[in-house]
Amino acid sequence: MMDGGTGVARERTQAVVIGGGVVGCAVLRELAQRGIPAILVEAEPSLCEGTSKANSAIVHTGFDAKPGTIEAGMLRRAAALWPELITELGVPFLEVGAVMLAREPDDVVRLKAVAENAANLGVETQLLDAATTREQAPYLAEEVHGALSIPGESVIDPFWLTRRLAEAAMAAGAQVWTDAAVSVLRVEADGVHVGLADGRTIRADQVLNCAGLWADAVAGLAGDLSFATTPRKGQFLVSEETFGVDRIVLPLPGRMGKGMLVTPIVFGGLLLGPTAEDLQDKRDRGVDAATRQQIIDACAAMVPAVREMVPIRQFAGLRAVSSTGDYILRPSTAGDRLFHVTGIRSTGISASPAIAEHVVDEVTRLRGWERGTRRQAELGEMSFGEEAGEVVCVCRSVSVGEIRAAMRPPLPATTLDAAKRGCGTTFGDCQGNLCAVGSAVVLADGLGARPETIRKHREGSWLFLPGGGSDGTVEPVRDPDRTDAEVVVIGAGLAGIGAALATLETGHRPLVVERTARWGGAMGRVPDALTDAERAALATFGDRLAAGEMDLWLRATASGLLQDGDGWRVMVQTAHGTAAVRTPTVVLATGGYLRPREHAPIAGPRPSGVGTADLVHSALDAGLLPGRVAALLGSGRFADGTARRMQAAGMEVRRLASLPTAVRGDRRLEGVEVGGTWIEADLLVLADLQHPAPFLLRPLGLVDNRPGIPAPAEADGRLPLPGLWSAGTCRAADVDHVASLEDGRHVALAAMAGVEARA
Amino acid sequence: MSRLLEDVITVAAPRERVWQVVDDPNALQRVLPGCEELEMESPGHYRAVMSTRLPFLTLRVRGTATVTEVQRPEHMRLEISGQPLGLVGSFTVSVPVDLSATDDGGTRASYAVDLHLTGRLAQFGAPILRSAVKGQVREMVANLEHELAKPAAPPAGEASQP
Repeated sequence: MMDGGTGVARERTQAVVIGGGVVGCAVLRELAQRGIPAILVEAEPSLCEGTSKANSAIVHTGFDAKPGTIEAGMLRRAAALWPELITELGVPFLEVGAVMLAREPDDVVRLKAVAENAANLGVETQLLDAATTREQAPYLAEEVHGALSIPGESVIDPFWLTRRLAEAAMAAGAQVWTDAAVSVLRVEADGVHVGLADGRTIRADQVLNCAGLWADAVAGLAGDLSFATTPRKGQFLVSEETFGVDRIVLPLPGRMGKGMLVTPIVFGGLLLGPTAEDLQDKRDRGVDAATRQQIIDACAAMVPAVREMVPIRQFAGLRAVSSTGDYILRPSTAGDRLFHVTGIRSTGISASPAIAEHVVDEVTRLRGWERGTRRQAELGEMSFGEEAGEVVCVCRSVSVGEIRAAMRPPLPATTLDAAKRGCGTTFGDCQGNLCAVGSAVVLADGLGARPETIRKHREGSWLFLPGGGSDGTVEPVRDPDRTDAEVVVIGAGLAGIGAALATLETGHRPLVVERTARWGGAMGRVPDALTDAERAALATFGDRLAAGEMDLWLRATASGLLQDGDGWRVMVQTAHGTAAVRTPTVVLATGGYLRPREHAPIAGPRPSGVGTADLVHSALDAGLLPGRVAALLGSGRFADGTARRMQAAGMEVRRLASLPTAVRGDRRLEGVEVGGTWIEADLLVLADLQHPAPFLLRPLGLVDNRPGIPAPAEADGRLPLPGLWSAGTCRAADVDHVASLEDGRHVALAAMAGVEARA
Repeated sequence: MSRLLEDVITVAAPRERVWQVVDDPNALQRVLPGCEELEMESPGHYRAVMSTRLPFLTLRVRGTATVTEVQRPEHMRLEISGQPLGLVGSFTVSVPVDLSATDDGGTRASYAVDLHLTGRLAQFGAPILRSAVKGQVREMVANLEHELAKPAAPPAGEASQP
C-alpha cells in the first residue's frame, strides 16, 4: 500500500525473509507452501548473488559430517527431502557419485574410519581396493591405494535451483523484491519494522535472517551482536575439458575442510577447487595466480591429466563461517520475532530443504501460527519457443530464444550476470567477449531499454556508454534460400575471403556464412591496418558479391557439421531458423578469439570493464562505447588499429608494455597493475594473443574442449575427415592475421583440386 | 559419434515378430519413447515428433527415424536424427542391432547406442543428455518387450479396416 502523505510504499505481511540465496529462497518456499504470506528482500538486482552462485554445486550426502552437529542432522534430513524436491522443481541434477582417495598406504585405515562415520549417519558407502578403483576411474593417479565410493553424492545447477525455489514460492503466493537492501530493522513486541534503503517499509510478524555472509550485519541493525559471520574464500577453476572424469574426486579431508575436489559440472566440464582462505573483508572475491597453480597441483595429484588443463575461468566464492563453528538457527537476542538462519558455511545447497523445514517449524511454533495444510502450486516447466532464433553466444550456441526464456516472469533476468546464470550466455571459452554486446542488446530489447542501460550486475557495474561511431543499425537477415552448395566457407574474415575468391577462380560458386553482421573479420574492423593486397581482396570480394557470383549469408552461424554420405551437412542458424546445407567441401575459416583475462593469471576482483579487443569492436559496431579510458595490451597491427579506432570514437588509450599482474575496482574497473605501477583505466583491452576457435570440430572429436587448440590440419589445410578443410587463424593462431588471406586462397585451391580429382 | 552403451537383451518372441514391429509404423510409434507423431514416408523411413523428458525440461525434437542396413533376419540399424525445437543444434542416435535366435524360440538382440550432438546440445548438458538417452533406450527396450508380449497385429494394410 502507499502512504498517502509521503508516497512511500508501506507493506504488511506475516513473514519477511532477508536474503535471496539458496537458503533464503528455500525458506520462502517453505513459508509460502504452508500458506504463510511472505516477502523476500534481496539487496542485489537478482537472486543468487552471494555464496550460492560460487561453490562446488554438490548435493552432499553428509557422509563425513561431524555427528551430533546441527549440520549433520540437517544433511541427513535433507537427503530424505531431495528426491521429491528435484521432481517438484525440475532442476538439472545428476547423481554422479564420489570417490575419496587413499593416496598413502595408511590412508586406507583412515578411509575405513570415514566409512564407519558414514554408516553411523545412514549414508551408503563402499570401500574399493586399488584395482577396482582404477577400473572404475582409470583417470586417477597410479599411486591410489584404494578409495571410498559414495554413490549418493550429486551435482546440481545452483542458479537454477535458487531460481526455481523462488518461483515455487511465488507460485504459492510469496513475493520477491530485488534491489531491496535492508537499512533499518526494529524488533518490537508486536512486530518487526523493516526499512529498506530506498525508503520502502514492511511491517512483519516475523523476520528470518538468511543474509549469509552479511547475517551479522543484519543482526547488528537490530542491536544483536551475539555472533559474527566471516568469509572463508574458496577459489575455483573451470575447465571445459573433462579428461574423462565422470564423478566427484576428493582427497581425505585435512584441517581446513574437505580439501580440493575435482567435480563434474552438471552441464558439462569440470570445477576444480576450492581453496579455503579465512578472510575479514566480505567483498574480497579476488583471485590470484599462485592459488591457480596450487589448485592445479592439488587436483593433478589425484587426476594427472588435469595438469594439461587450460582454465576458462577462475573465480572465488565466500563461505559464511559463523563464530560458533556450526549453523546458527535460533532466535535473535533482540527478540524472537527475528530468527537467524546463518553460518551455513559450505553445505547451504545440500542442507537447504531441511534448514527451511526446521526454521519454519520453529517460527510457526514461536508465533503460534496455525499449521495449515501444505499447498504446492503447479510450477510451470522451463520451456523454449518453437524457434531458437539467431545464435548470440557462439562458444555455447546460446540463441536469442534462450536469453528470452531467461527473461520470462516471474523472475526476469535484467542484468548480464543474471542472464548468464539463467541460460549460460557469456559462459563459454571467450567469457563473453564475443557475445556480451549481443546479449545486452537482446536484454535491452526485452526490457524496452537502450543497451547501455544493461549492467553486469549491481549499480555501478556499467558495461557500455552510448556513442560508438556506428549507428548500430544492421541489415535485415536474408532467409537462407539454399539447401546445397559446391563449397561452404565458414567465416568471412581474411581467410574466408581468400578461400571464396580462390573458389571462384576455379570456376565454382562458394557459399560463405558469417556469424556477424559484416564481412572482413577481425582485420576488417581495423581497415587502416590492412596491406594493399588485403584491401584489394576485400574490394574484389565486394564486387563479386555485387555481381551475384557467390552467396554470402550474414548473421548466420554454423552450429554443426554432420557427415552426410560422401559429403557434409552444414547446420546454419539464423533469425529465420536452421538451414541444413549439403556440400561436398567445407572450408573452416572461423578464425579465433582474443585470449580473455579469465584464461590469464591476472589477480584481483572481477569488475565489469575487463575484456578483449573482440568486445571493443563488437561494441563499436553496435554504436556503443566500451569505456572512456582504455588500457590496451598488444603490439601488432591489429592492436594498433584497435587503438586508433578507439581514439577515433573519442576514447583515451593507454598502451601497456606487458600483461597486467592485477586489476582493481569493485563494480567497474578502476585500474590495472603493470610492473608494480598502477595505471588508471575503466577498460582493460587485451589484444596480445589469439586463441583459435575450432568449436565446430569439438563434437567431431577432432579437438578436445580446451581453449587454444588449433584445428589439426595438414600443411595444405586438409583435416582428418574427407571434404573438410581449415584455413587461417583457426588452424594457426595469429592476432595479426598476417597469413590469413593467402592461407585461405591456398587451402581453397587444394580443396578444389581434390574435388576436380574426384570428378 | 561416441558410443554411449552396449547391451544384450533376450526377448521371448521369435525374430519374425521383432521384424513385424519394425515394419509396422503403429507398433514402432508405441516402441519409440515419447513418440508423439510418426508418419511413414517410405518403407523404413519415418518422420517423427518426439519428446525427451530431461530432469528439468521436456525437450521436443523433430526428426526422422530410419531403419537401415537391413539384413533380414539378423541385422538392422535404427537411426534417429533431428533437431530440438527452440534450441540450436542437432542430434543423431544410431542403434545397430544384431538379432539371433535362442534355443527356446526367443530372440537375442545385441545392440549398441552411438550418439552425436552438435550446437547447444553438445554444450548444454552432454552429461545430462547422455544420461537421458540411456534412460530412453531402457524405455525403448521395455516398450519392445511389452509390444512383443501382445498378439501379432494383422499385416500392414489391414490394420485400419473396420
